[in-house]
Amino acid sequence: MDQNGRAVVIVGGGQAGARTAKSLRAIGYDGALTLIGAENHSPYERPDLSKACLLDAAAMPPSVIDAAFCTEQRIALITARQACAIDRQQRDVLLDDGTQHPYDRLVLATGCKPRRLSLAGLDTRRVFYLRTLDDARALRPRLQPGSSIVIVGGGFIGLEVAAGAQALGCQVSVLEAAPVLLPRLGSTIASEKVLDHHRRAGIDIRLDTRIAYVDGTRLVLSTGAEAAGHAVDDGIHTSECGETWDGALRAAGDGPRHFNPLLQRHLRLESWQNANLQPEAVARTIMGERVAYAEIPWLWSDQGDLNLQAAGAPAQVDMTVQRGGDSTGVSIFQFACGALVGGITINRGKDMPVIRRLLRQAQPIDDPEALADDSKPLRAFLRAGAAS
Amino acid sequence: MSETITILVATMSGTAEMVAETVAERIEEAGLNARILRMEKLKEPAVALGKGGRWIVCSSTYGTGDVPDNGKDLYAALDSERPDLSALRYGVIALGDSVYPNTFCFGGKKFDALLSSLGAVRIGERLEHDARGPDYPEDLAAAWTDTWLELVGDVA
Repeated sequence: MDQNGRAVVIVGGGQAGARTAKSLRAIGYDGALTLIGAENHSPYERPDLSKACLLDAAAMPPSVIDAAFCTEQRIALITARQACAIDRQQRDVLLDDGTQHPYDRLVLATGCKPRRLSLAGLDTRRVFYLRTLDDARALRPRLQPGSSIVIVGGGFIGLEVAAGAQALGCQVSVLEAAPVLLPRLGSTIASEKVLDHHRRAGIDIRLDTRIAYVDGTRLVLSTGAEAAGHAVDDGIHTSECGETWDGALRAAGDGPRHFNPLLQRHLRLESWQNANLQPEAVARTIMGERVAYAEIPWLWSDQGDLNLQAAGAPAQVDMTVQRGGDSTGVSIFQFACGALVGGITINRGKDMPVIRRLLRQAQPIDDPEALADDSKPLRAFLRAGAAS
Repeated sequence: MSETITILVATMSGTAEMVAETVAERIEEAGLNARILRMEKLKEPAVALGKGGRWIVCSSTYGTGDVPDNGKDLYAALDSERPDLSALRYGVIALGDSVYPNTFCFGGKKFDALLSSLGAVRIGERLEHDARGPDYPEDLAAAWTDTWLELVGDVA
């Protein structure tokens, strides 16, 4: 690609957008590079917002790139500005301050936004959404000992906030519309263990429950997320390299529904791993090189003293094998038609590096039941020479 | 040579704990005793480490160069109490991700710098593993352990 006079504009100042900018410079893109973020902060990683940033007023989430890096790398970082229109014919992005930013390649990394709760009579001063550092800083001082917190949505982030609020001495209730916690894990064992853990810690978790009315309690809303901007079948469809139907447009991060060549299907992932690595493939396509983003999906959640990790994103599961017990933590191996399709660890993260390798391995596991034998090292199930 | 070698683990995702299991296996295959201890489980770290002996620190790195959560208390205790650790011989296994080039392996490096500032003597080179690299951390750690045991045997 001729870089003279070229311009790449990235809309979205989160982890995926910033990682795209960083990757572009790392692989030698030398043209103009503009990164636009709506928040008044340099790009940072979000996982701490529902954990450390709620427990400690001074906590700063890890930075992805800062102003000094942008200056050194000639990245025009524009913060506290929203893109309001994209002219795909003119290849131009219009910001809310009226400035226009022409592009040759545009990367959408706008992430997700929380679903808004719409309830008659709701006192919006008592309602908090959690997506940004400013959101976390607004919420934190409200998590006072003895205060009643209702969290709408028992997903990863909702449960992380619940555990944090509980640790700060709040009375915490979690409302979950589904009949089980974390149904997308595809494991009733895991769902029940997580439920049991939080209930024993004193968190009031109500399944199959929605808000009927509000009566003076404070609310934290974690009602799942939806892709921002383009509601196209739950996210813009992209190729395994992050390309879209528009040759000048790429997408990365939580928003797009990308093709995963290992799983042979499209999926949208809200995870650190995805925001971290997918941008590298997107950056390469901008340089004219197609390298697929092909990772086994992996995510984790720290909910107080519960560490939960899941790999594989199985679409269906017909058999599970459990390893370990309550004192040593539990790993759950998920199979479909004889093939390992997913793995979950609950306070047993030491198994996860090997589970992720097993999931990449083409050969089936000979004796799945033997995974339950804690005395047999998990590494023994790896085939020599298996793909890393 | 009969005292137990303790592997102190600071981990976020569990990789450091997995690596520690391999290190423990190697130590026991060499005919020595090993135990794995997550850092938050070490009581009175200034006293325990002040007694000396042979220890291995196996630490990952969180975010941009932080010590993992479960190692923060131990780090803070040693940093504030400043015990004399001149009887301590230690090795360091540091796990990192080159996606953070400026703070690569800082978890392990911070423990290394702290222990040496308190008079402890590091034996051998620090092992640094890159999650983005081609090698599995436990493979490198196994080879590192064999070398470390030879070196530490000489000075014990």
